[in-house]
Amino acid sequence: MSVDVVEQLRSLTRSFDEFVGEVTSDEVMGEHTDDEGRDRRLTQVAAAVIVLALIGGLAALMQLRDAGAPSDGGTLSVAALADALVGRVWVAIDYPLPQLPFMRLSDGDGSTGVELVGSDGCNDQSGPFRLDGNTVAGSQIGSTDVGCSTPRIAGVWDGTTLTVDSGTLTVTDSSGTSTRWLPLDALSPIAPNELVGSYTMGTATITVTPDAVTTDGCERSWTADESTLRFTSSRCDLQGPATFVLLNAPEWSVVGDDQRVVVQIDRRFVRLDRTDADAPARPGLASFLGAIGDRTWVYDAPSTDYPLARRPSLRPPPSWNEAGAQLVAGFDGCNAYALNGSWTASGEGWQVADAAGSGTLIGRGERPTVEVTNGSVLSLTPDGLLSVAAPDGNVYLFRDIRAATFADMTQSPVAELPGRWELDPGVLLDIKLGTGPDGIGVITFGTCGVNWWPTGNEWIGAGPVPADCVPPAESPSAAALVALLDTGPTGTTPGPVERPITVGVNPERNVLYLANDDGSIVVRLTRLDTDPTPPNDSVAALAGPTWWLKDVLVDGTPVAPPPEGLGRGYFEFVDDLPCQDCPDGPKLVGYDLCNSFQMAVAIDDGFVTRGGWNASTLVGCDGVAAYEAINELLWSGTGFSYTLSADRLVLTSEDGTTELILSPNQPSAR
Amino acid sequence: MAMRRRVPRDGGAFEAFLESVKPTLVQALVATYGPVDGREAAVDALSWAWEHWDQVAQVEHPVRYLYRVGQSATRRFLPKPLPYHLVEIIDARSPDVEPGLLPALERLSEQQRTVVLLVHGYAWRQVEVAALLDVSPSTVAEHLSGALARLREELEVDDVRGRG
Repeated sequence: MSVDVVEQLRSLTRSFDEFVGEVTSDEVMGEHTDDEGRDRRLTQVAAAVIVLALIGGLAALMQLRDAGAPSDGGTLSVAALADALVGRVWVAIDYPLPQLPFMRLSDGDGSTGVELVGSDGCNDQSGPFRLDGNTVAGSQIGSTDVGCSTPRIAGVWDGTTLTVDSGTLTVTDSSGTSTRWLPLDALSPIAPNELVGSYTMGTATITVTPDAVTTDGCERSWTADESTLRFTSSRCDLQGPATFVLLNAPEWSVVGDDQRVVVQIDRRFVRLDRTDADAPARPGLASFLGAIGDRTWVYDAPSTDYPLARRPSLRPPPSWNEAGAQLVAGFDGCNAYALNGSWTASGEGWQVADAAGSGTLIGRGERPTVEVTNGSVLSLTPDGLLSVAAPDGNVYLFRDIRAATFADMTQSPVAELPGRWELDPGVLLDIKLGTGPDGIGVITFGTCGVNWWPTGNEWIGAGPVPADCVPPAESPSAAALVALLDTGPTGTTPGPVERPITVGVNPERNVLYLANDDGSIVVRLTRLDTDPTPPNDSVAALAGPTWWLKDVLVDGTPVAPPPEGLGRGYFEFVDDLPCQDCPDGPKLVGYDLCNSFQMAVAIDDGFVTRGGWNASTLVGCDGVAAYEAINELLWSGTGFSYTLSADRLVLTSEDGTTELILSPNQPSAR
Repeated sequence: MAMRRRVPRDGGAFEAFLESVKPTLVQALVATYGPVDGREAAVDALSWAWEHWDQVAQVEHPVRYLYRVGQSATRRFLPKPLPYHLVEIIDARSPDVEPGLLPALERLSEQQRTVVLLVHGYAWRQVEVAALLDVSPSTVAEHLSGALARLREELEVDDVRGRG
């Protein structure tokens, strides 16, 4: 078959044209705004943060956070502890026996602090106690004194410490015994008809059918009374306290999830563990919220799928399943938002229901957005990622920035930072370690250089962004990075103001996450250099003077002198160079009678090897013999050799044909 | 690091310039780097021109100049394979294009590929390509001849035009 290659090429370029489409003025000029535009973008970022705070997300989170608490913790401040405790019923849901210990905590009078009524699983308890910080003091709790062989729990006696972390109360007594408690209102009400299934209760088996509850030797019929299961047949004669309590009650009120249900009978609580083979593998709402709440989740798609470094993020508060409560505060890639509503069970996760949101209203343009909306189903993957299944069928994965830190590494995260990173596509960011005694390094992007320093194993501090910092206009994420790093005016505080920044890294250690304390800004960086270790070459032999071009020889013969007005050619060898997108290490910078140039070099044993990086002003200067000879030497082969004497440096091309004679003494003006 | 980007103020003159150079610049960079990276390089180069308009406005051959800027922008991300990996896309859009054409083009040298696509794909004159690449017309002719020969060999087809 005859094929016309030329026609094939035309068809191909027509396909290219279709693929390329129109390059618009907005693409070329739109992102290169003036200072006013930069201010506008920064204002948008600031507005996003402010509005988010106003709508309650950050405000609520920040209110709960002790100023001295670690940045990654969900532990309540002492001031908020009492508020979190009282007005709730706490159950020790992990207790190994089905009849659960509980504490019903309420405000005491002015002198007694907190009032407790409860059970340790065997004996009833009641009485007041006070809190001295998070330590129980002045406990006047009395207890019945029934002899039991039930497992011991940490009692609320003097010296016991109470902490609430991610909504879980941990009580630790002076012997070191800890007991974990969940508030009953963290568990979802379960309708009677949702209870149908099989359960274990300790060693007993319980079966709930649509019209009866059955255990060994006992069957009681029931009817649903709205949210209550009400028995309609007579009681059974049962042995054992739990089954007796459970099957002799007139009615049940049930909360829990698909794996554990807590039956409230009068003032007591019994746990049933579901054993249905087809029960969904869904965590209970309380444990789910405990696992996802009060931490920052960053959208974890690769850069090819989501090109912007400022990542969509989520931060569910440590809230409980109260109707209308805030479910999540987040950033969708363009706007900050907060969502109130409730959770409902769905498949293997929890679905956002009855949601109402508020947020900023910045135009999205072409910017991709990822957000939680009404109907989104959230679940945790086996790898610990937060899956957000959107109502349109798309599934987005988020990574816990705290879990993405360095738990599985033996070295400091600081060691991960130095190197070249990509902020947005084509926008480079350089992080250098500090070399001085104070250890301060610098983060460079565009014309911006921001100091940073290690402050621990999980976060770094950053200083004020210099006033002359102009973030790369082509980078939508650069303004967010400035907002993340900038501490603002230092005021009367001497030295830079500390700005804690959480640092995370992905398991492959080629993606870096930087986030602020409240999780409202998360920036993702992609490592460009595969080897972050700078070369060890020394340019000591050649560094120092500016080497001025004296003569250019080709095959031993001087070439024609360059025309007047081209200026003096020169070369400088430097240990390093503050440049935006270059690797660390020695550089040769100079002027070749036409262009200013820079190149990475390695110098060893009389030979200068050209590195992979270079930059030039790229102006053509045809017909100038000296310029052409210099360029032949600079850019041909792998490099050039050098011979150094006291007052002369001779560079010789790899093929030996071209020589540059350089002098440390600046020639007189022509 | 106290450099500040220069921002042009005469947007009208630049837009006229943009419309005049854009088609040829995009074609040139697409011919060299393919439709994805070539387009990106063109946007980079034109954006650079927008930032340095006072400088670019004085350049005698702006397409050649910006072509080099685009090359420089693309080379910042080396090493990576040339982006002629769009066989599936091209196949879907242009079933009349030989499946082996893109891989064959990828195996050409950069200059051969640029020349053959500009001359025979985009119908540039050889002297225009020579001006773009800052080489002599005879060099372009050599690259063109070599490229066509390689393509014919790679595709193993009878070229009715070339053999005629």
